[in-house]
Amino acid sequence: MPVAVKRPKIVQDILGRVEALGDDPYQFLRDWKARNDRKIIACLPMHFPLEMIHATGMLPVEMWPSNERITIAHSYVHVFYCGLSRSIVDDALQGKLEFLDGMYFYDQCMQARGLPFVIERNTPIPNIEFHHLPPIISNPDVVKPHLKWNLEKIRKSLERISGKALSDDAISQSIKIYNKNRKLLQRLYRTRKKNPGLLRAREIARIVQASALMLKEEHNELLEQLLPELEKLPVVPDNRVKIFIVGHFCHPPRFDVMDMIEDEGMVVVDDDIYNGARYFALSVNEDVNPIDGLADKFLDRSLPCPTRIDNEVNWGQYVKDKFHACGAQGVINLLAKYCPPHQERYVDIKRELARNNIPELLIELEHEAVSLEGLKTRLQALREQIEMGVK
Amino acid sequence: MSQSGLEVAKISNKTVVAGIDVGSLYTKTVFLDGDGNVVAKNIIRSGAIYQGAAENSFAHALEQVGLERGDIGYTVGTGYGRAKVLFADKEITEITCHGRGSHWLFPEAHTIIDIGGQDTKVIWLNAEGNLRNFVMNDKCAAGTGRFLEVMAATMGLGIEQMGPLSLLSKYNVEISSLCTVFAESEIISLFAQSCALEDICAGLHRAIASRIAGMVAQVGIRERVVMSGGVAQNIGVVKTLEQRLKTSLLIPDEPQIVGALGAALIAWEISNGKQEEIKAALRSTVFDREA
Repeated sequence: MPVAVKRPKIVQDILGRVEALGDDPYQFLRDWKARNDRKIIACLPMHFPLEMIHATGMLPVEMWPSNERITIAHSYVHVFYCGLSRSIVDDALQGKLEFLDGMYFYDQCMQARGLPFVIERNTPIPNIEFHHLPPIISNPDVVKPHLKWNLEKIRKSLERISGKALSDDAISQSIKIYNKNRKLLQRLYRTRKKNPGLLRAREIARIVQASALMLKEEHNELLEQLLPELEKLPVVPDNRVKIFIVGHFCHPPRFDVMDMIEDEGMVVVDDDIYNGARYFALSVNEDVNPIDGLADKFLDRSLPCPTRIDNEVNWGQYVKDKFHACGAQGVINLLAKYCPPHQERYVDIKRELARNNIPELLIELEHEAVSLEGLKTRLQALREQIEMGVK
Repeated sequence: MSQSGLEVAKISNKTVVAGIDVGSLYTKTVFLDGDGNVVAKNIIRSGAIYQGAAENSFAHALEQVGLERGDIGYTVGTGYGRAKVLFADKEITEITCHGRGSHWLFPEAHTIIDIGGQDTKVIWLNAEGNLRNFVMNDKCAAGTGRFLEVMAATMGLGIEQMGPLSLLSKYNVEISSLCTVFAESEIISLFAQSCALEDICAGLHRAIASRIAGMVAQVGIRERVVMSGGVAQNIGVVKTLEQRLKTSLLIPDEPQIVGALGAALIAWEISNGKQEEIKAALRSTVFDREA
């Protein structure tokens, strides 16, 4: 279903660029490297301090899932690993990531811990490293010194790979560029919230995904071109059922499923997914030492993450508050199959939404084929439930 | 177990509406007259051409009441092939329709277990018979009607024989998989061990009941519980499920037709303006063919 608003060519062109980039990051990054003669470091998504990599002049990118079936990776990692884990290993073993100058992993989850060892033993990719970023943040005051010690280890590693010293000033400068990107993306989301028919959910996710793959200065430039054009467009009344999407950490959800949600008569008004609002929710404090700023952002408990254990977080309350704030009528919980952190927290969310009579649908997504026809029925049934005003 | 049927009445009011449920195995049609009485119903095989199945089932129903297509005031299509009921005024999912049909037959019901040809759904209804929550199998047709058809064929039985035969079982046989391919291999292994067919049938029914119980747990069980869909005709599955859920199930006389009945009831409500809010709510959707 096309968007209701007629958009100018410049908007269409930018959306076309980010769609192509997300569809084939390999070619985009190879071309970027050849054009700029700079190194590229891939990191596990979500919590790695990308600003530090950026400050060395290298390009930090967050790892992404391929569009292809998993092949040889199943000889090295279990089939019950999440799609992203298996895809990273598969891409690496197939030689699709040999343009990388390094890969940084950290203790994101149980599956992620084993990946660097498989890749290091079986591919020529240099600088495969595992760094410790504390997975338990219940007591930030206790954890922070340990975290800072590890950030200093990352600094040393980056100095070795880049061949130059990494100063606090350089990190501070990168933090400013990253914070600017976060502010621009927040503006994009405010614009979408006012005018939900302006962009499709897929397009919003592609714009955020592009931020994870592009040099931040280039992405900022892209957003500075895009936003004024979007903000000029008229607000079109949209009577579709309003949906809040939650879950799906680390990488974008399947785009065909996001399209189907909107094709079935619903519109996504806001989200709490990583390749969405979670990506830019927290900024780094620019008024303190940059290592302190990065550590404080990592330990900020206002944006709970199921991969950072915090026993005091009330997940159900968090999702319920976000749902009410965006004026949605229902919640779609997108769960990446074999994501234990999300599975553990889902129970809390489900219970709280049910207690408050909030319509909710859980969709488990796999790297492999999803039964789209059955999914269509479930999405339509959710829409019917909401339309009939059932409590 | 109690039952409720669909008696066909003579048309008392000629404003007739239709509900057509194009399922993966069977297509079902129900007509209601203006007073809300069932005046026609039929069940035919869907085959591979859903559009043709919808046309044929509709034509049979027209024949039953002696009406022309233009006499039908409003038509709702539902089921797996609902998009292929090209003459329907509206599409509604089989989840909503099974809920509505079950509520009409059994107003006291709050939980619906529907096992059809390819799908299994557990539906929670509120007091008005509207959808409150649901779960549906999302991967494959394991444990559905098609699964039982394949198992029956493997054992050289008719599908209708499995239920009664399973009640004669004396020994527990464990069927560990509901995957059609793996379960077929298991059955062949059981043949080699000279297991009796009644024990194998009972084992299959226990495996299905176990899966359904897991789905029921996700939604929560609220009395009373209706079982609809073709598999509700299998007395073995029904009895096993009752034991597993520790409750007695309400079974319609014609459990296959409940989705079509629900579709016809929604068509009737829209046609008669009895529930303006439904008409208003559903009018805005992209599936509305009135526009």
